[in-house]
This record gives sequence, C-alpha cells and structure tokens, in this order.
Amino acid sequence: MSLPILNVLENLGVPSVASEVLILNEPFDWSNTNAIIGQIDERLTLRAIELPAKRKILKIVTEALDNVCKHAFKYPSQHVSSFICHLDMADRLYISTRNLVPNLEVGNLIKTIQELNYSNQEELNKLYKEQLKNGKLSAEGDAGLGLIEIARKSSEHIKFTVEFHDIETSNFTFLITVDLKNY
Amino acid sequence: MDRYFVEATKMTPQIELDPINKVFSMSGNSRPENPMQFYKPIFEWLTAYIESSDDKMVFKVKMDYFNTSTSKVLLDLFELFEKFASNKDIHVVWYYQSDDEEMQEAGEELLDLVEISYEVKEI
Repeated sequence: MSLPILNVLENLGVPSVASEVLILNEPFDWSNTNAIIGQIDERLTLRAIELPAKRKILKIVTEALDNVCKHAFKYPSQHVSSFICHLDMADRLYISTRNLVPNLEVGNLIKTIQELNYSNQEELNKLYKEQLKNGKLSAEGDAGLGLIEIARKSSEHIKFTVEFHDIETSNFTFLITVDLKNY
Repeated sequence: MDRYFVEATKMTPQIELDPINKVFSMSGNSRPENPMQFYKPIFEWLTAYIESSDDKMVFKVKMDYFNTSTSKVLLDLFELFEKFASNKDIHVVWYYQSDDEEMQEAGEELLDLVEISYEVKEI
C-alpha cells in the first residue's frame, strides 16, 4: 500500500507549508498535460519569472509530464499517477511526478538517477550528446533523453522514492527542485 | 513531387516542403504524442526529393519549443542530410529568437553532431 503522495513529498523534503501551484491526477494524456504546461507558463509569468528561467522550467515540466504520460498509458487501469507543482516561501519550486514502473526496471532507474546526480554540468551535457547520437527512439517515442535533460536543467539533485505496488510494478516518485532565486 | 504541408497545432509544428517554390521548413512547437507517426512521412518525402533533385535545398528550422523525443527526430533528420551531403547541396538554417539562448544552444548542440553545411541565426 502506497503512502498518500503529499506524505511522500514531505518525506522527500517538500515543506508542508509550501503552496500547491498545480495538481494533476489521472487520466494523463498529451492533451491535458499540454494544458497543464500552459497553466504553469501563465503562473510563472504572473510571478514575473524571467523568460530564460521560465523556458528552462517549462522544459523540465514537459519532460516530467511526457514521462508520466508514457507510463500511465502502459497501465491504463491503475490510477496512481500524479503530477504536482509546489512553491515554498523561499521561492523554491518543487516539481514532482509519481507513476508505476515495472519492478524489473527499478534497479536500473535508481542507478541512472544516482549517476545523473553525481555528474557535473559538463558531464551531463556530454551524456546528453552521447544518448542523442547513439540512442534509438522507441515505439512509445522515448529517446532516453528526458531524465538527462531534467538533470541538466534543474539546479539540484533529483530526489526519488520507490514503493512496492504489486508483484509486477512499483510506484516511483521523482522530485525535482528549482531554486528560482538562483536560476 | 507534390507539395507537402501540415498546419501547426499546439503540439506539432508547421511543416512546409514545397519543391516548386523551394521552401523547406518546420516551425512552431513539437511535442507529438507519437513522434514516429508524425515525422515518418516527412522523412519519406525528403528522402525521395533529395534522391530525385540536384537543386540546392535550404532547410529552415524555426522552433519555439520541442521536447527531447523531437531532439532525437531532428538529429535523425540532420543525419539524413549528412548521408547525402557529399553529392547534394543541402544547407540547414536554424533560427532562434534573440532572447532564446536555450534554442540557440539546442541548435548548436544538434548541428555540431553532424557534418553538414549549416548556420545558427538570430531572428
């Protein structure tokens, strides 16, 4: 049994007093997630976030939503996916996604995130180029670039937690933090 | 060959491939639900055109936004041009808004991976 998403996020370091900017639960598809990107764009504009920073944030949001969409599509009957954006008093934006992943992929996913977290900007750029050049686009449209792109655009390490869901899948929650003051 | 034109949507770019007026361009946003399905006809059209024509082709890219799946598609497209680069006159112009450093860097990063004639140009 998984914890409620807000408890998971609090455990990952999102302050309980942080205000929710946007929440999207299932169903996830390309159309409603596109609308969410539009809403976040509007809210960042209202907060007078500079255009270059806004572009980077929207890039992170889009890649995070693309990832949830692809996974939600694989498990249409399991309504566990979510996307939440929080903002705290210190102008830190928390972008989180939760979705099911096959248990067999969990180990590799954790290893990938840890490698990304240990890499500096130059190493991330190199990794991105290598994956761009050598990776293949899957039938679902996955080029293996989304996480690397998130890592090189966000200002802090990607945090995550894994919770057992059933014999085949686990709930994977990502937390990406953006410090708007230093962006 | 017939002109190929796809109107822009919120998630897919405008594509114009016009052999009569020599306009070859893509512009707008690209976050297609199924990138392979959307871009396959464009690859087919361009392959057939390049194989059959000896005219110079200037391919213009003016993107506002694209996701990483589209980055891969764009690199595949530039690699297609690279394949023909030794005996066809193909040039890519990557446009970016003056305040869009992200788009400038994205263009430079992609085009740096192939050996084709290109320029990255501020609008």
